[in-house]
Amino acid sequence: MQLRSHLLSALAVAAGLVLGVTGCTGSARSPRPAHEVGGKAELYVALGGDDVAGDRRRFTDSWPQLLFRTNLPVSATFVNLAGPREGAEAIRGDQLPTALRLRPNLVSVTLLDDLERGTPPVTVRRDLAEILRRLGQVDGIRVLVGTAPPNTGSEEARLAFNAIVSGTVRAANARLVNLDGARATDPQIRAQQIADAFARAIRRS
Amino acid sequence: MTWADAWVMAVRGIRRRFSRAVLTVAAVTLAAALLTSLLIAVGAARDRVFDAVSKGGPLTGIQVLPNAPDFGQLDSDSARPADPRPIDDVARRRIKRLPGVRSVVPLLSSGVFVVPAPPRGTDSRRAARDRKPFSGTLTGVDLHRVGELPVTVLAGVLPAPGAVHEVAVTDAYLRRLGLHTTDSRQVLGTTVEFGAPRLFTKDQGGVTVRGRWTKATIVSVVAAQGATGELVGSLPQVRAARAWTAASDTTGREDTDRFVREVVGSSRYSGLFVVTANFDAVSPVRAAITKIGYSSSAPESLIATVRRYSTVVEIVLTAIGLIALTIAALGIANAMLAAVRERRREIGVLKAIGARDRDVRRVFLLEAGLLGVVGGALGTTLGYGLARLVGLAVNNYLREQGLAGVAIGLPLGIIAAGVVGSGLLALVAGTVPAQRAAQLPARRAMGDA
Amino acid sequence: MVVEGDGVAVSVHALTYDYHRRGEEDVRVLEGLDLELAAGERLAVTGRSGAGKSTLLALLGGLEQLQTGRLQVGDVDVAALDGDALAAFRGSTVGFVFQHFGLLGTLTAQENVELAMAVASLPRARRAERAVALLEAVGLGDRARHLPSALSGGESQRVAIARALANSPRLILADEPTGNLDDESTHVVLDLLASLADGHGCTLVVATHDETVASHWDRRLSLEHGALQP
Repeated sequence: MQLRSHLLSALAVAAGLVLGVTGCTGSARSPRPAHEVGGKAELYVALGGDDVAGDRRRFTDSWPQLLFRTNLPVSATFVNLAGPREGAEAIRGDQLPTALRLRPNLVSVTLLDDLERGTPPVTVRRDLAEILRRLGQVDGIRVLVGTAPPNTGSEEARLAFNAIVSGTVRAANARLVNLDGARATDPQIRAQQIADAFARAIRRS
Repeated sequence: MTWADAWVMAVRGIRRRFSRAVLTVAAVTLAAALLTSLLIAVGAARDRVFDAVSKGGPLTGIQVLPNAPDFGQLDSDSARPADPRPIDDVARRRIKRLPGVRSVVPLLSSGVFVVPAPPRGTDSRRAARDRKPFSGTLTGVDLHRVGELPVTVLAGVLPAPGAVHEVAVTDAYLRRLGLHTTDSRQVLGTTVEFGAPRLFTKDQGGVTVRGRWTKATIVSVVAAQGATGELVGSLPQVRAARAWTAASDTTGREDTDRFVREVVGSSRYSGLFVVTANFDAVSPVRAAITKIGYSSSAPESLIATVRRYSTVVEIVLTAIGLIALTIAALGIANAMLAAVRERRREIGVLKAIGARDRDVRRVFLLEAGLLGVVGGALGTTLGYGLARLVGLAVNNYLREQGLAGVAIGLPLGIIAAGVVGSGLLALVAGTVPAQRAAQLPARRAMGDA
Repeated sequence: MVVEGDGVAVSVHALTYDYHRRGEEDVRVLEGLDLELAAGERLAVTGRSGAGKSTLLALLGGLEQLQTGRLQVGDVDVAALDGDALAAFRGSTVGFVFQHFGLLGTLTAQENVELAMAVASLPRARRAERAVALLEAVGLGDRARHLPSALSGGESQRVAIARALANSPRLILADEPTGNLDDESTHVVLDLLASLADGHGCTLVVATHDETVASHWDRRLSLEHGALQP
């Protein structure tokens, strides 16, 4: 009908303009039964950088989207606030205010861009602590912070970075999600491994 | 002689020549069955055609668009939208108050990204391809009032009113997955994700889109007319999506502003579905809506044409049935004439013991009428049964094709008319034999001499 | 008493009757026939087959419209009747007995008797009782529920006699009443007719070609050349 095609074309044009979401490539990922965790309706907000925002060409296959798809109940709502190449500082400045306004009850944070960019540890620690402090003020919230999985920068730098992250998380009212098991080199499989690790953490929390 | 006595005589007369009566009744039965099944079939077909024309909604439905009407709008069944013109509550109330309007159902839609679920039974290789997201439209309706809307359920059940995690999908959704409406069942029970976009402006002036994603279980596949996209859900679902998009930070940029306007529209409602009190009210109500300043569509001339054609078809089929019934009536006349010939002496005896002409006439008319009514009753019942059988077969076929079936109701009017009509026709057919019997000389009692 | 009332006097004068057959010349069956019957008189009309006996009976009983001549049955001028009035005359005044019995095959013996009363619009409640009494009077009380096909010729004719008496007629016309009966049945039927006529004073006219039957009645006339001869 008139209105629909109108909307569709507008949306397609706009999406092309702003996002460039055309021609998503297919990749193997078998449909799996949803392991739903958490019974009540929840609002899940994902904060982070490239790994969370996903490939521009297949942003709907990012690990938080997979977590939402396969591990959260059908009543859950998911908002992905991540931006490309955004680290702790951008999360604190850009993403956090929006997240706080949404009053989520589940938040995930990953800082892989800081590791790749080599952001000074002191800055990462300060920004992450601030992020966790302010999120901790929201009632009934569960905050999960992921470590850097293997194959992110040099192993030495990764371990050092993870030490900083885990130290900061322990000091705050948040839960650390160890992503050492996400070793796959295929980005899709790796995304699923990260999503599964988060799902296990949610189930334990 | 009383009617009751004549009735006993008539029944005994039929019983005496039972096999001939059976044959006569069989002819009437078949003719009445033919007429009844034709009438029921043409009625069901007409309803089905109207149903298809109105997409399952009321025949008296008018779709109102958030656009000003173009020149010539009233001459066209289709919408002729000109510039956008928001539909607000004021406009909705004005239309609701128009004479002849029975109800106004608002439609709300929003552009969303859709991540479909792989259809059930697809292998993993296809599954990934089937997850290919697309830009689609989610239309929300008041699910309590879905009966007033042009929505036909092809498979499954409509989302329960108030259920915000259930949606119906249209054939447009199936096409996105490379499916046909015959495959409807494959998507039932799968979970679709849809995300409303929202624009965020960065400090550096860049713009990014962030989605608010929700999931819903697909509970039905529907054929829907009007401002409906791939997904049909509840009003709260669409309101939440629109609210998210509408909160975009556009900071006065023309491109981002246009994006928001085109995703959620500038109108409070994406459309209205107006149901008028009767078919004759459609035209004046559309004229009034045009005058208020909105473009509209309604299949009025199409329905008028279908009505005309269906009337012609009805007349032709009724004529065929009536011809059959007339032939059956001639059969009654023939059987009655034979009976009169055989019973000349008996009629004479009746007269000899004092029966008047009209007593004799009454007996024979009752006999003919009884044959007609019994044949008519059996025939209409048989015809109804035949129509049901044919309906079952047709429905199986339609369902295989992914189309809504036809409904064969119990047409009491047709059945009553069939019985009464057969009886009357039989009475007419019996008139000549009855008259002949009545006029037989009483002397026949003594034999042919 | 089942049969009430008296016989009726019959007066026939100058009765002439022609048979019209399409494409053939008219055949004169009766010519200037005169007949006087006293009330309760019993007459046998004899004559060869085709002499006009049945026609005479048909005219006397109002089965046939008069062509010329006068016919007075009691105080009724039959020539003046037609249509429903003639039917009413047949139903109330005359009782017919036919050679072929004239029973309706679909009705039981009792129903056949009741039919005559139904035609005369006698209330339903009174019919059954009277029909049973009539059947008993003709000696067939136990055969009331039999269909004519289950009755012998003699029995059938007795049912027909009961039916003829159903509406208390004052004139009984019997056309070859024993024509289809064996000797034994013939006697039974003739005795029955005689006793009923005797007992209730009905005027009786029996048409027969059989001299034995004719000899049963006190008055005999022979129909020859369209008129009655002693």
